[in-house]
Amino acid sequence: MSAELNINWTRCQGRGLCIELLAGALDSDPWGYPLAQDGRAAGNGKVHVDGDQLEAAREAVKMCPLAALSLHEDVGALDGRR
Amino acid sequence: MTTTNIPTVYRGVLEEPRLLAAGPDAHWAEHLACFGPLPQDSSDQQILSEWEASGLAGRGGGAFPTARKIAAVQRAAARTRRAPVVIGNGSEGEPLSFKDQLLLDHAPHLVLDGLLLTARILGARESYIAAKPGLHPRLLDALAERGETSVALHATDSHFLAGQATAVISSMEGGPSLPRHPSGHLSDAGLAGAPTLLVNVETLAHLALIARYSSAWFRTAGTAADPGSRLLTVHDQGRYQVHEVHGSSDLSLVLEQLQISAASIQAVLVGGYHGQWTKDLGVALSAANDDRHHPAALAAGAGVIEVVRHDICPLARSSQIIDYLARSSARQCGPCLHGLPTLARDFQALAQRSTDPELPEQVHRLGALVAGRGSCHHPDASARLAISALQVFDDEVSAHLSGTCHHNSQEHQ
Repeated sequence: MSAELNINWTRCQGRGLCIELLAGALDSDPWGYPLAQDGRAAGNGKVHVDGDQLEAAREAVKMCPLAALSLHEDVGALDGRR
Repeated sequence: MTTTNIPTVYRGVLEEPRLLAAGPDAHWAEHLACFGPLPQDSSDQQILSEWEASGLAGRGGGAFPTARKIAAVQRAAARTRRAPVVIGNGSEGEPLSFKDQLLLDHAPHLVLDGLLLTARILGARESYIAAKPGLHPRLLDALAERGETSVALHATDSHFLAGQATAVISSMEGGPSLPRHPSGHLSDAGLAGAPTLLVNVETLAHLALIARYSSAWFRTAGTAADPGSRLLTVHDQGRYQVHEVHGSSDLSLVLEQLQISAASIQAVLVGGYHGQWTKDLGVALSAANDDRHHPAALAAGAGVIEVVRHDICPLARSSQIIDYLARSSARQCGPCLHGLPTLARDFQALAQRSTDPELPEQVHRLGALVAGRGSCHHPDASARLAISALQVFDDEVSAHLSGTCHHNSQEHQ
């Protein structure tokens, strides 16, 4: 079970809560915006999230003060749709 | 699949213009005399098949297959039972592109034919042309000439990103003319949530021609993979001209036909500000990049090339472009807002012969950092341009890092 975290870049202001909550998947870039750790970038600002990080990812979606995050769960069940 | 390709060596400027066949400044009478009336609506099914068989890809820069876009809108309209909207996009935000302006000025009726045909076939309730306000008088005149009242005009801003699909939609809905974060396809939910077909105005003109003359005729220009013709804006020595060329034209042949001698050329920017550099004039100007074949294909983007002659420092020119791109950020997404100005500053230092050996590496690093981290492709394409400059002009980069320049024209403008 894995998921994709979608960052709406027009909303994100780099408050950094998600970076703290998802320390295993996100780093901060030089300006404080979430940056997918090596091998986790899934294109178009999406970040690959492992099963054991799902709970933290859901928390990050809920806590984001700009409502810039959404979680696309059950990615494996989808075909290679864009 | 047809394999009767025109040999590369002959693929350049079209022998007979297609889009401008009715001559310059074609009014309704000249248009009708040249192309005849629109095909009857009894042939709509046949027209759809011809569009699909033509292999036409969008001429606004994205090169997405137009028939697939149309089919997606048809499906969404059937599913949602909402009347679709058709938008011809002539916003032309790319500062080096003048072909949409030329087309709307000289062949507005062909564009309107394509718009009205797609609207008719899709059962659209509304259709629009989005273009800069300066082009509206000519379009209003054309609409009046044919007594057409079903087409509305929308005035787009002139800034770089205003022509992006979601920026046009946002502006038409009364919002800022800035790209939106993608949330699905416009064919499913575009203008005010309606299934929306948004295509470049040159694409519409090609649709109008294919509907009349068939897909087989369309494919007599270009190649199997890049069929038909495209308008190309060619910049050289501060002037530009627009020509209609074969799909996958040989760059060196186009330049030769325009009497720009290969010996005078240092490099060519292919695809405009979101494009890439080449010193190899043996490349094909194509719908998409492809370096697996010979000659390699470079995406013509919205149909733009800029020639840089030997008297100009290509790093200085690249720096100007990157600076423009950084200033053109919609300032909505952090990595682009902060990353592009930093990248532009580092590139400018390189162009000004700063001897800091870290600069190329910093440009590469910033490029990788901003790419894929925005709601539109602006950071990706801007980074690609910068990195293309470092790769193609590696000799110049080395010279600059040692404080010299082959061109000695840092102050050119």
